[in-house]
Amino acid sequence: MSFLKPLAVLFASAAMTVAATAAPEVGKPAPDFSATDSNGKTVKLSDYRGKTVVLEWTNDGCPYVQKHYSTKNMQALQKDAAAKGIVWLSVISSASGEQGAVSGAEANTLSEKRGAAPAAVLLDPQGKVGRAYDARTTPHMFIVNGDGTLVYMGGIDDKPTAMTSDVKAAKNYVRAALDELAAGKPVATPVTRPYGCSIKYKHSS
Amino acid sequence: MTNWVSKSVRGLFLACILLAGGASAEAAPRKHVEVDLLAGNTAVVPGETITVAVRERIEPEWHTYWLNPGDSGEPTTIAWSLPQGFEAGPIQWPLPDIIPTPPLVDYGHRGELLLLVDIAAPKDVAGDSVTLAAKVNYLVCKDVCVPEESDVRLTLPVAAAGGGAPSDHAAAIATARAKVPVPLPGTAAYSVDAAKGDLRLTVSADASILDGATDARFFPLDWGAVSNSAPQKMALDGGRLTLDLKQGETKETPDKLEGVLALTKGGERKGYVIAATRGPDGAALGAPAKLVEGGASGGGIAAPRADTPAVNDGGVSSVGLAILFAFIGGAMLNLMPCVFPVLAIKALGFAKKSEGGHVQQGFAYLGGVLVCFAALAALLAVLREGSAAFGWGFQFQSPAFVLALAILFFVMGLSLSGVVSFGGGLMNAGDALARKPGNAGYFFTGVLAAVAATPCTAPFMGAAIGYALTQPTAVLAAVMLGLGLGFAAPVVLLSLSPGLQRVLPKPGAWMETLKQVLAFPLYATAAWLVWVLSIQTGSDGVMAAALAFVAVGFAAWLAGKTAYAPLRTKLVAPVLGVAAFAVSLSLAETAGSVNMAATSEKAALSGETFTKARLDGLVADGKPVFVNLTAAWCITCKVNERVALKSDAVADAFAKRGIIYLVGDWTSRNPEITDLLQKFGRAGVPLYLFYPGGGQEPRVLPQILTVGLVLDETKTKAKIAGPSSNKGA
Repeated sequence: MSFLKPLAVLFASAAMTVAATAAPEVGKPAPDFSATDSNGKTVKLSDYRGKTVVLEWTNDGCPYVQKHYSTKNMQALQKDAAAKGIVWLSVISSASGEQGAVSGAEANTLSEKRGAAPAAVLLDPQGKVGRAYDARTTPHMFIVNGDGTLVYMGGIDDKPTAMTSDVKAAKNYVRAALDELAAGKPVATPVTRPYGCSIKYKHSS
Repeated sequence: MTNWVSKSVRGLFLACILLAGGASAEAAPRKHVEVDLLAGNTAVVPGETITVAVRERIEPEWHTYWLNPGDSGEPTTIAWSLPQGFEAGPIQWPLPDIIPTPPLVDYGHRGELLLLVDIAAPKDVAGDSVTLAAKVNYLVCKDVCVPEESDVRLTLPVAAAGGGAPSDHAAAIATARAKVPVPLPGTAAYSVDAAKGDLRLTVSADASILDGATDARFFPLDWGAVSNSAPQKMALDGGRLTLDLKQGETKETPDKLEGVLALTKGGERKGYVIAATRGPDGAALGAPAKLVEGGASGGGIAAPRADTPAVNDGGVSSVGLAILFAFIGGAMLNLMPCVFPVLAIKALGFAKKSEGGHVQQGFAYLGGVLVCFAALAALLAVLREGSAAFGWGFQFQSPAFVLALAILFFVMGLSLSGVVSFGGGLMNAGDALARKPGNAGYFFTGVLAAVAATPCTAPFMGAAIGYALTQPTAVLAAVMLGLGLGFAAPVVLLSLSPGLQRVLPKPGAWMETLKQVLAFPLYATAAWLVWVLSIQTGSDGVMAAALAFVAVGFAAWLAGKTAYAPLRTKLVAPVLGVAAFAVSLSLAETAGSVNMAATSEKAALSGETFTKARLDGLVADGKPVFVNLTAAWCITCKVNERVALKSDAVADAFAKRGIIYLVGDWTSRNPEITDLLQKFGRAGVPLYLFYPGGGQEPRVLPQILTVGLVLDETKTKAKIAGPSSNKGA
């Protein structure tokens, strides 16, 4: 049966190829999803057709997330977005028991405590939304335009460190992209390096 | 003396400060990494460079990150505070480990990590000691990540030129230096298939570097162009290694794709710095990647464990895959025309003896085939040790071998025709054994079938042999036996399955007729072999063959006549036959060596004779070139030439497109052709290459050609893909 093993390898690599090509691409329709938010409500991406949607992968235990929350950088972006009618969805893909995994109530308390202003916090302990977007880090940012097209994916800014002192001087890619979209311009830098902690996905899926 | 005292006091003082510092650090929250600074020398010499190491002693199961951290994380940074005039070089990063955190793949380090930095001292150094200090920032992760910061410092005395000596840490620093990737003594290029998101990295280097590599992994220096989590598939063809990668998120295709190539050999990894230049688009670059599944060391989605990053069973699965391919290739050989005459005999044998015992016969046949392939494996292994240029089908390059086979087929034909019937004795060595009913006959039919199959290099087999030649002897043997198993499979199957056997016709009077008819394919084969010999040796060889046929024919007739004579008389025929056989072989071999030099030109039927210099010259001039590597004994080659390459349509197209047609004839040994075959991962002919010109990489055509295929593949206006980077809308 020794020949079964190479066969298995062949099939496995074929399967992985499919998975790899299924990654979202800028300029293509963003993967739709249905997820439960911190208030138990079902949220679908397609519900927001016509509006710009920001997806923010987060994990409150991650130093890179803390960098942007302790400096109020993330909250400021969220508030600006809300004022412009942009839908901000924070997504937690930490598996149950892993760092960053919270209940709905805990998520709401966290938002309150931090002064965060997302339209909704999506709980994704199975990692379905995260894997659909190939989200890897916290933070990892995605922007979907009103047509449902993915127009930005990557980091929040260009300083891939955990140092709060770097926030001020950094070029914030998300702010720049949102400004460009508001002005009817294409996003100048649509793909950047996401940086931060790895997302604590559920194992063996 | 006073100087010595002052230094000692200062040293004591510094020690106290360090101790105090250490004590105060105890109070801080426990860190996951202990960081300190080591020097390879006991002193700093003005105007010289000293190597220091920032040592990270990382808590078990935790890791810090490489220069490019991969999908997440952040590399260590060192901010130096050095005395006036001192300059620190970049961090000399050791080869990273793969740190899979499914579905992500990071690049980092575990255990003890030494980050080497060269620090150049100015010519004038004030004071008699210097303090090197640095702030080290790093992210350390297990399941969770913690950014840490450590301050390190090291005070060293200043010595005059020639002063100082290797310190206690010199050995550790030397070990660390050995882990730093070195520039690859070779070249690297990559091609893009944008539609599929595939990248193919092609690395050419000396066999001493690539040979025996069981796993390869490319670590890109920068984020974006290459997917970190996609598995990387390795293929190794002698002096060339290909690695199939996936594009990263940016889909960028830089002019130079920089990174580190890690090669695993015998459980040890070595890193090479490469900057792959961008080649033409499309996946048709060079030989197809095949056979070696370079281990899913990248993990990809399936990577299960985090504690064995680089070592995996890639070697095992790649060998398994090679054997599987060899098996398929061997089975396919049964469809090849050159096996047909032997198959005819075999079919005859089954028809004769359909009452049973087929299972034993099937396995006897299998045994014959396996013995032959094992012998061939041994021969390949032995020959590989020597530096002779050779390849699959190389036996056919020996005129003596060709003639021996021709005589064998001739005698077998005589036997089928009823001129002679062998009862035993020396002449049985060939055909009679194969014809003999029972297990011995099947054993030798297997031997014969295996020998006759050599010139039919099916695509699978060529690839398997090419792979095997680059492998350790055990793997080579396993692949060869895989070929043999596949080759014998149809007959074994036939012998095992009564259902299949029932398809065979019932014995009867028709058998004698069939036997006589079957003599003619054997004569035809003998005739063809003489033609091969004529190309190898010229008219002298043909004369030797003709004389041998006469002598052997006479011996066969004599053997029949004296079958019931006393032993002494009886022995005359075989002795005569063997003598004729030996003499003719030596004649053929001599004729062959005389003729060797002229052979290649003679065999170039149309088109120019291939030489490496000619090909290189044409390619350098940017001319489109079609290369046909062929041999007289290669039936596939001849069929392709008749069907496709010699057709008017192809000739017209070549003329119109200005394609220069080079023919390389491998009927006799030709090291330049052997080299080119090996470059494309082949161990035998045919090989068809099209160089589109204009510096583009050659395309490899399939081994079975049609007119349409040749016309399509040789379109000189190759499509150049559009914009090289699509950053999206």
